[in-house]
Amino acid sequence: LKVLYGIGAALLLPAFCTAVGNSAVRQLPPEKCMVLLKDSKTDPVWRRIAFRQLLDQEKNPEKLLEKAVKDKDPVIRRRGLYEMFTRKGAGAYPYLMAAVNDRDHSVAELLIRCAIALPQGEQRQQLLKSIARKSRVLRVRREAVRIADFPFYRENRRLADDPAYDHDLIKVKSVMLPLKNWKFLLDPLADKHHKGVFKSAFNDSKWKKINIGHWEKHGYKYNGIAWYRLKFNAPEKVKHNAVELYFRGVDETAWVWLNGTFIGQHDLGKKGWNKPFYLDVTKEFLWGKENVLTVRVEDTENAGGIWQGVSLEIWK
Amino acid sequence: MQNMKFLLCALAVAAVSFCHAGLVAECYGRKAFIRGEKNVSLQVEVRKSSKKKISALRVNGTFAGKSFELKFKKIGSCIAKVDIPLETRLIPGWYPLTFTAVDDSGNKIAKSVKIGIAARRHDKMPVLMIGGFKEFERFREIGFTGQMGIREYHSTPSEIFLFDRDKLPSSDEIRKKIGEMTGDLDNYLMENYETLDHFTVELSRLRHRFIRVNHEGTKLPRIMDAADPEVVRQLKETAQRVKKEFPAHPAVIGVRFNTEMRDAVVPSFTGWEQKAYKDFAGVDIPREAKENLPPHYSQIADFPVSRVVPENHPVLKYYRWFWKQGDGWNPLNSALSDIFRKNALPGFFTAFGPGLRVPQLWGSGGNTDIVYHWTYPYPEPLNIGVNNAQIRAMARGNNRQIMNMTQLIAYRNRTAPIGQKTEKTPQWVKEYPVAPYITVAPDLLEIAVWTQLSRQTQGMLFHGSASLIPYEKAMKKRHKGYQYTNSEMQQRLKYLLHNVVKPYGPLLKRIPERPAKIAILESYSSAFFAGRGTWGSAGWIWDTHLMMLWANLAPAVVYEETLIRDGFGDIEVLVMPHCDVLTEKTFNAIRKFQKNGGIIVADHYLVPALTPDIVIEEYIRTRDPRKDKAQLQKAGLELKKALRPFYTPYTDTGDPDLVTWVRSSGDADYLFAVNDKRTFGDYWGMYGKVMEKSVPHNGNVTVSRSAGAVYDLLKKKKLVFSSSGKKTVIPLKFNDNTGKMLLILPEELGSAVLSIPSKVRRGEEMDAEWKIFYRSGKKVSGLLPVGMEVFDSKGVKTDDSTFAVAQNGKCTAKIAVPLNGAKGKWRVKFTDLVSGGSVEKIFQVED
Repeated sequence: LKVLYGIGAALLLPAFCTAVGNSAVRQLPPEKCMVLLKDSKTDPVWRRIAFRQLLDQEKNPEKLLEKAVKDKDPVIRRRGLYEMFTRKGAGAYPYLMAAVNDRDHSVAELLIRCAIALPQGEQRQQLLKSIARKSRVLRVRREAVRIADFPFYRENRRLADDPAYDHDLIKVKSVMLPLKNWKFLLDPLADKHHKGVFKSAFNDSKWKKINIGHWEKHGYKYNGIAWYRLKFNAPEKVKHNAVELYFRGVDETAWVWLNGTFIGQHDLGKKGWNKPFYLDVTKEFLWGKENVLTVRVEDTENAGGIWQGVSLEIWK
Repeated sequence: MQNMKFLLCALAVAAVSFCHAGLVAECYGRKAFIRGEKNVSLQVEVRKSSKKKISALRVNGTFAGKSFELKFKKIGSCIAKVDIPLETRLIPGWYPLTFTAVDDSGNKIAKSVKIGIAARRHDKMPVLMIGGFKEFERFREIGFTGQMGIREYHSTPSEIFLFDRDKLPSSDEIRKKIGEMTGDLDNYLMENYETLDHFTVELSRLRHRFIRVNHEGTKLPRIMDAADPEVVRQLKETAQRVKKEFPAHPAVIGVRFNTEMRDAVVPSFTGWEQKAYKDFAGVDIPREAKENLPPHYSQIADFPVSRVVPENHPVLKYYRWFWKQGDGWNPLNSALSDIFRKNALPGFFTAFGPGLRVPQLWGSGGNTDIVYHWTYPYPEPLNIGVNNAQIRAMARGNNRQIMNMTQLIAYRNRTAPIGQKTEKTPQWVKEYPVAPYITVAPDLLEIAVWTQLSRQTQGMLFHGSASLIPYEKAMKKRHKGYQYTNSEMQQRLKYLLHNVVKPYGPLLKRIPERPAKIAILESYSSAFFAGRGTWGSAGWIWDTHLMMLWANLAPAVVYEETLIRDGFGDIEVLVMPHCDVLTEKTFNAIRKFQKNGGIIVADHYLVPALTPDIVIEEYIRTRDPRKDKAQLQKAGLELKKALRPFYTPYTDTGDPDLVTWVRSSGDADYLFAVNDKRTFGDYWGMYGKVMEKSVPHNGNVTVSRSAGAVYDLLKKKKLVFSSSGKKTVIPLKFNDNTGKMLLILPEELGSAVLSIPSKVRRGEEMDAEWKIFYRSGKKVSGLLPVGMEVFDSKGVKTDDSTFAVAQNGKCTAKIAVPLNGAKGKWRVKFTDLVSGGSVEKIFQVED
C-alpha cells in the first residue's frame, strides 16, 4: 500500500501542482514527505521539497539528518551537513570527516568552511589536512593546502615604507632580469612545495622552459598553480641601502623565494593581476654570485603567469 | 537646410547691436517660441551710448503684421530692460519684428529681429544621440529627436560654467557664449529637435584638485573626492549659476550628470569619508576597507559558516554606506538634480548613467528622475533585455523612470580582432585595418532595438555617432576613435525609428510591464563578500538571465532591498545565481517565501542554510559564440521543463530562438516577438567571435489567454490564430525582419466615432474626441495607439497632427487654430494604429 501511495504521490503531485499552483507545495503532510523522500525514483525536486518540509516539521531531526548527509542528492547532503554542523558544532566531526571525499562542489565548499570554523586544535588540523589530501574539488583542496599545508607568509616591508627610515632613497641601479628561458612547472595539486622546489639546490633540469608572458601564450591553457625558477648572475656589489625585486605584472597571485628563502607574497586575489609590486631582498640577495629566484604563481581565471618583466632595483 | 541658413543669418543680424542717434539696443534671450506658448516676450536692452541714465522709453513697432506701442516710465538706469510681448498663436515659421525705441530726450533706435514660432510639442518617445555633431539634421533625418551636445559632445549649457582651464572666462565671454548657444537652441526648437545638457566634473577644474587617496596614501587622479564638502559646495554653486544665468529653454529637455565617475572608486582616506562614516556609524572605517569591495568571505576571520550576515556586520555596514552615500557621488548627484529640477520647465528631467556599475543596491545616481544603463548588443543582442530588467530593479528604490542606451559601436577585440588572419578579409577591414571601434552589425542592432521596445522605458538613448554616419573629422584618423564601417546599420535604425518608434512611441512609453511571477535575485551581500554581480555587462548572473529569456521565462530582477521592503509580490519562483552570501533579513524573507510555496532555483554557491528546489549549473563561456548560445539555450529549456509543475510562463514558443515579451493594459496584451536565430555572416562572421547575421525563421507562440483578435501592428492587419479555452496559438513568420509587435484583444475592433465642434474661431482651441469600440459594441479596455492628422482648408497638414494613445477606447486631443490660419473647411482624421481604420470630419474655421 505504501509503495502504491508513493508511486501515486510521485506521479500525481506534479500534475496536481500545475493545476492548482504553488499552494500545493506549501505544506505536504509528513507521511507524504517521508514517502517522497524514501523513493529514489521520485523527481529530485519533490524529494528536496519533502526534505526541507520534514526538516521544518521535525522537532528532533537527528535521524533525518543522519540519512541526509548520506543522501544521493548533493543538495540534501549539503543541507544535512550544514544542519549537523550548526546543531552539533565540533560534535559533527565524524560527519565532516566522512564528507571529505564528496565530489560535489557545494558540499566540499561547505566542508572547508566548517573545518575553518572548528576550534583550533587537532580535529581542525586533521580535517584540513584530510581535505588537502583527499578533496576532489581542486579549489577547495588548494584552500585547505593554503591553510593547513602551506606555511609561507611574510610581511615584506620596503625600506621606503619604514617609518623609522627618514632619508631620501635614490635609485642607483636597475637591472632587468632575463625575459627568456625561465624554468616552468605546473602544480595542479598544489603540493610541489613539499618537494622543496623553491630551494636553491633543487634540480629543475626536467622542467620546461618558458619566457615571460602569459602562460596561455606559451600553450598552457590552464588555471591553477605553477612554479617559475630563474638562475641569474648578480652584479658586483655597489653602495646601497636596499635591494628590491620589482615585478611589473604577475597574473594573479605570487609567492616569491630568493636563494631558498621565502621573501613575501603578492596576494590580492584576482585584482592583483595588473598591479606591480616590490619585494625587499636586501638580506637574501647574493652580490656578484648566482642567485636563484623561485616564484609560485596562482591564476584562477583568464590568462595567468609572470607576464611582465622583473628587475632588480638598487636604492641608496 | 535653406531655412537653417536663413535662420543663422537672421540670428547673426539680431545679435549685432547697432547705435543710432545715441541709443543702443540689443536683443537677448530666446527668439523662438512654441506655438501657443503663453506669457512670452522678446527681451531687449536699450542703453544710451553716452552711458547716461534713461528716464523713460517708448517702444512701438509691428510683429506679424500687427502694430504695438509700449511705454516705460521711471526707468532711472543706464540700461532699460524691455520685454516686448509676443503673440505665439501663429502658423509655425519666421516672422519679422521691427521696433523703434525713443527715449525721453528724443534719442531713437530702430531694430528688426526675426522671431520664430515653432510647431507645437506632442508626447513622443525621446530618441537621443549621446554625442552628435553640429550638423544635427543628419541625426534628425534618421529619426533622432535630439542629441546631447549642441554642436559636439561637450557643447551644452552647463559646459559654459564648468571651466577646465587656468584662466576663468570673463563675464562678457560667458554672455557671448550663452547668446550663441541660445541661438542654437532656438534653431533646434524651430527644427523640432532637442538637446540634453551635460553637467559633468569631467569639465571641471575641481577634479584635479580634490582627488581621492587610497588606504596606502596613493593618489587616484581620475576619481574625484565627491564627499569633500568643498567639492559639493562649488558644484552646487555652479549648478545654481547654470540655472540662474542660462535662460530655461524648451529645447533643453534634461540634464545628465557625472557619467562613469564611480567605476574605479575605492574608499578614500582624505579625511572626509572617515569623518562622515564615524558620524554615521559611530565607529571607524573597518580595517578590511581597502578596495572597492571587501575581501572575499573566505579571507574574513570568523565569517559565519551559514554565510548569512547580520545587517550590522561591520564590513557589510561600511560598504553599504560607502556605495550608497559614502563615496559622495549619490548625494552629490541628488543635490544637483534638486537644483536643476527646481522651477524647471514641464517635462524637464535629470538623468544618470551608467547606473549599473555598482553593487546591487538602490540609489545609483541619487534621486535623478531617470536612471539608465548602456548595452553593447553583442555577442547577444538580447543583452539589452537583461540591462532593462536590471535598471528597472535599480530604479524601483525611489520610483525613478528608466531609459536604455544602445551602443552603436563595437569593440574590435570582441568582434573582429585587429590583425587576426581570416580566410577572406572583408572590404571594411582593408579600409580600416586598425580602427578600434567599428559600426555594430545591423541585425544585432535591429534585434536589440526590438528587445528594448518590448520593455517599458521613457526614452531611447544611443551612443557612437561617428559609427552611425560617416563623419569626416573621424574618418581622417582611421586608426583611432569610432569609425563608420557599415552603412546598412543606419538604414535599419532609420526604418525602426520612423516606422515603429515615432508612431507607437507614446504608446510604448505607457504600456505597463506585467507583474513578474519569476525573478532573479541579484544580491549585494554576495557582490560584497564574494565579488559577484554583473556590473551591468556580463557574468554568470547575466547568463542566467539570458538563458531564461531564451526559454521565454520572462524574468524580472529583484534586489535584496526589494524583497525586504516590497515583499515578493506575485513572484512564485526566485532564481538565485551566485547568491553565496545573504543578509539575515533577506535570508529570513526567502525562507518564509519557500515555506509558503515559493520555489527556489539556485546554483551550488547558494548559502548552505537554504535548500534550492531546482539546481542550475554555472556555465563558463568558451568564447565560441555558437556553442555558448546553444548551451545556455539548452540550460534554459531544461530549467523551464523542471519548473513545469510549478510555473507556467505566460507565453511560450518552444523555440529558444523565438523570444517573446508581453506587456498588458486592460484587455490588451502587446506581444513582442524577436527572431534571435543567427549565424556567422560576412561582416564579422569570419572572425568567429559573434554570430551577427539573422536567419529567416518560423514558429508558433502560445499565449495563456483566450483571444478574439490578433493584430500585427506594423502591418495593421489581423493575423490568423487559434484560440481555445485559455490558450491562444499564433503562427509567426520572420522573413526579412527580426521583430514583431502584435496586439491580442478579446474581440475585433469595430468602428470609431469622432466628435468635434462644427466650427471654431481662428486663434482658439477645440477638443476632438475619438472613441472606438469592439465590434460587439462593447467598450475597449486598455491602451491603444492612435494617429491624428489635421489639414487646413488648403490641404496642408498642420502641427496639431500627432501620434497619441487612447485609454479605454477614448482619445481626446486639442486642435489649436492659428490666428493667421486659413479660413474655411478644415479636416481632422483619426486613424487607429491597430487595424488602420480611420474616421474623419470637417470643421469650419472662421473669424
